[in-house]
This record gives sequence, C-alpha cells and structure tokens, in this order.
Amino acid sequence: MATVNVTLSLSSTDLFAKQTLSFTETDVLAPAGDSQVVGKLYLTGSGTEDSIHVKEIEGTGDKAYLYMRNLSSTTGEYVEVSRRASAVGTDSTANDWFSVLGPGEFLFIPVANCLSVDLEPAAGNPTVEYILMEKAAG
Amino acid sequence: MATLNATFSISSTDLFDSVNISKTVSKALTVDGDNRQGLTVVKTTTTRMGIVVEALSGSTGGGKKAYVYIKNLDATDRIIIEDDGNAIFADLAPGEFCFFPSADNTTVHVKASANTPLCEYLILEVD
Repeated sequence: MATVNVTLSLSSTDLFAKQTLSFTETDVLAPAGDSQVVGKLYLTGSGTEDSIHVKEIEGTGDKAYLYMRNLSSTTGEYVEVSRRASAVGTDSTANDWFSVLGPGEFLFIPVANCLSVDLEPAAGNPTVEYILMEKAAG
Repeated sequence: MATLNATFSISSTDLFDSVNISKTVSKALTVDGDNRQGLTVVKTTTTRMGIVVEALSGSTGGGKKAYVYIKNLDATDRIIIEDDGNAIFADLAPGEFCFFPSADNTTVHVKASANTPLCEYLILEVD
C-alpha cells in the first residue's frame, strides 16, 4: 500500500470585514486500488466529453482520490468536470457536472459512485493534469 | 471582491515504482459572490441537508459556482456529498477533506453514512 501526503492551505485577509481566514489541513492517504494514474489531457473541445480513465474505478462505492488542475491561462477556457456513473465507453449524463475548473484552478476531492470522470471545455482546447488514485481494488 | 489564496501540495515516493510525486500548486482565487459562508461546523445525520444558506446563482464559469471546502471531523463515520439532484459524487472517510469549485448546482448536500458525524465546511460564491 502506498502513502500519499496531501496539504491544503486557504487564506484570505479580505473575505470578511472582521475575520481573517487562514488554515492548513493535512492528510496521509493510503490508496490501495489496483489503478493509480497520472495523466495529462489536451481536451478535444466544446461539445465532446473526454474521459480521464481507461479502466473503471472499482471497489466498494467506486471511490478514488482525484487531484486535477486546468493548465490553461486563457480567459473562458474553463473545464466542466462530471462524474461518469455509467460504464466507460458510454456518455455521462449530459451537462450534469459537479465542478468547473477555471484557468489555473485545481481541485482535490475523494470522488465516489464514479466509474470515471468526464471533462469538457467551454472553449478552446485547455490541457488538464490529474492524479487519480483508486481507494480500493474491486 | 476578495481574494482567497489556495495552495495544495501532494507527494509520494511509493505510489509508483518509477516516478516520485512532489508538487505544490497555488492560485489566488477571486471571490465576488454575495454568499460568503465562513468556516462552519454542523452535525450531520443520515438524511441529506443542504449546507448553502442562499441558493448559488452566479453566472461565471458555467454558472452557480462556489469554492467549497469540506472536512469530515469524525473518527468513525463517513460523510457523503451529493449535488442538488441528490446524486452522490464524493465520500469523505473519517478525517478526510476536499476542496473544489462547485458548479451547476444551487446547493451542496451532505449526509452521514451512520450516526451524526460533524462536518466542517466553507462556501464562497463566485458571481
């Protein structure tokens, strides 16, 4: 079993008039699935959903840790992120995304009920980098 | 308009045999929505509950966008995250956290796998 260390820091001095935000969270992950992927995708373009995984996420609850970043720096090239609940090779529910990555934005989330993740850019052909770590083998 | 500075680091020396992972990314995020919910802790149950006080409604980046941080404070039970159509898309084991730009949803639902685990969260709407 591998060990993956993750740290998230969030801070702001102007979100609230009377309160400064500043905290850090750390976690030590132990992904034990039989599918661990580092990937980089040049997205096809608006109107096409690209799947990031060549093998379905398995294990109880179909769970995986997902880190993803939109490498684009072009305004308007945001990427819609949706879960693929049906088999790889079939389309996810159209336009039912749970996240949007603007240029330079990232996410870290333990996805669930998710056989794969679909990506569709609003415009252009942004590049997305990701690390997908299946939690448990199926 | 406010700025949220977000930094994420990930590292591992044994996830892959041939490649070590060690990366830190940072982004100054613009928060300009009128719904800013600071760090909050709620007791969850096995019945889903919306954690957004005012429905997300902005139009930037596909619409209804907000930066969301959620952590499961419990030591035993899981916290399940659903969209506004009650579709599960994330699951936090005890002690786990997530950070993502939510979109295309007017709210975010959380519920417990069992019992009443505490859930810590932050929601910052984008206009």
